Amino acid sequence: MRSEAQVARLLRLVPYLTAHQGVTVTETASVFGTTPRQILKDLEVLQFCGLPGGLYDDLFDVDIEGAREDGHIFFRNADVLARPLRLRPAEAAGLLAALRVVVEVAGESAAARSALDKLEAAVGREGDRLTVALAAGDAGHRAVLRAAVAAGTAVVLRYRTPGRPGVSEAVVEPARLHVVDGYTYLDAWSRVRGAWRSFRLDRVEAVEATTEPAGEHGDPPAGWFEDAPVHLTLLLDPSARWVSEYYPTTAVAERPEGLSVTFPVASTDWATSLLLRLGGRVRAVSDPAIEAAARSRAAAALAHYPEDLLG
Amino acid sequence: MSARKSERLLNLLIALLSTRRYLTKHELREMIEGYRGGTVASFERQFERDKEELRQLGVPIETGANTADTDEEYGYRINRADFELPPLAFSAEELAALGVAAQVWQDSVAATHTAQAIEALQAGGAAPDPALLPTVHPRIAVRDANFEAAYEAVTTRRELSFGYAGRPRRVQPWKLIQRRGQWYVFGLDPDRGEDRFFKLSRFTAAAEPTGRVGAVVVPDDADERAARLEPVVGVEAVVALRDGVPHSWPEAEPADWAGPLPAGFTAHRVRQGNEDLVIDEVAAAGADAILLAPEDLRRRLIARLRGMAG
Repeated sequence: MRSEAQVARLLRLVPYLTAHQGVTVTETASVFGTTPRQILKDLEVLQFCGLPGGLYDDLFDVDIEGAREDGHIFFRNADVLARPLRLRPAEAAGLLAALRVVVEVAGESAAARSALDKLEAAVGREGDRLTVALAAGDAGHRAVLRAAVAAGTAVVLRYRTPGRPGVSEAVVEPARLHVVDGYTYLDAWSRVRGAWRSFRLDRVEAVEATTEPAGEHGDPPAGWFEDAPVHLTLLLDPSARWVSEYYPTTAVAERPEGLSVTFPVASTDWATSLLLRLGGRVRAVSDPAIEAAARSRAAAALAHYPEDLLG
Repeated sequence: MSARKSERLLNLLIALLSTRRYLTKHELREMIEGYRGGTVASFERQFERDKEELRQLGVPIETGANTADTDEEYGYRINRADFELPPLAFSAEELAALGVAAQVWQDSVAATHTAQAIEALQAGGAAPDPALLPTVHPRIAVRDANFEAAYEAVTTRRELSFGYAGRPRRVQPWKLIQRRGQWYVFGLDPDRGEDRFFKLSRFTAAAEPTGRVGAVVVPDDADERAARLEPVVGVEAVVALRDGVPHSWPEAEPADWAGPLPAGFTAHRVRQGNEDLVIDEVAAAGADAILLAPEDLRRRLIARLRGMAG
């Protein structure tokens, strides 16, 4: 344990323990993301700390034997460190950027906004170094979706799919809104598919509330791509190495014949777009159906170029 | 002995926090047990290191003298108002929002720092609770290898050195910005004397904070300057986009186009970093985008599509 990390924690531990008399060692460890053993070591350091003078009354008053025996911590005589240290710029930047994302996604949530206002006032401009610009879709759609999640009802979703003309319509049971890489998605149970699906909100055209109750389907899978039923492995030219850092992957391997990259595939459209984007830098495709879909999309795109007929 | 060092640092901090007067080094040596014993010279070296470590932790140590007498030795103290997190009272709903915010960052240096910020709020008496707001679930994953260095540079206000398009570059970073899932560092390019964006995914050599902590001065209008500058400059192209279909050029502007267009398409002016990216993006959009100009890019796109259509 480096003493820098320990001192940073001690500065927070003292006000925490002062405000939570009798808290358990285990709970304290979980709040501070460390082990109960480390918390006991921290207490051993703190028993020798306090006001200068070194007299009995000057030092912090902590019952270490008691904490070891029954697991409860009583910590007194620490008024000099009653408040934690201000947030450091790196801490403020991370938390405020995250909270701004919550404000954006939660839409009119007054609580998220007021929590943000309070923190901004407390940390000032140092908290402003990090910005995440979201493609969050229409605020009105988000409001209807959040209300449906809260009420446990289904909605009628009208949305566009890239590469497919027109608008699709589906009755879905919204579970939550989440953000991946700057885009907001709705996770919902699709009645027609009988499965969890993610819908990108900036592609949603309309949301209509219904009074139909949602069914019981358990929790949606944790990640946007973890529920992807399909994995696609591409053998790539070395010049396309960037895609392995750019998109979620499940496996990347160097092979004599090229770079082998496996992607979780949330939709066939995404996979065919990737193939079109990469063009000749793809040397082999593991899934013939996706390869065929990319071929037909390329042909459809080619129909827009009349001079191609001459070539 | 790191436990003894932690004890000494904390006692130094408490001594500086509990005084109104500036305390000289030698007064501090008398007051703090960890400094007694050893030579004056070794104490002074240790004291300098300790003071620097506390500053690294964000502890604001002031230097000054108690009187105007110029012969008086300088001393040190911590102003409590600068040190303490101001009292923050959060409602249950606000704590729920903070609890959700605590889970936004995934596995990056930002996640670590945010967890520490949440610890500080908990130490200050707040108890963020994500369980109260289960319907909102934002997550941000960071996949750029250089994010950590950029994060450190921007939050400690240090210059950042890196490779870009194969050349060594540097920037005085003002902000770290994610747009459409891409991270950019925005700031002053001291070699060219102008503001600009650098895209982290395009760094060609590892980034490293260089220069002194706090050396970068962030202008008050950094946000406005970022908004004025497009993060992507380079090649301009005219692309016909299918009406109503989302596309990947949010900053596309409608453009005049004299030639024929299929029904349901509108010509737009778009920008990309380079010619290859124009072709990649238009190809990825399939039949929803038609590359109209420049002519040579249009020919290259057709060749790409022809190769793929088999």
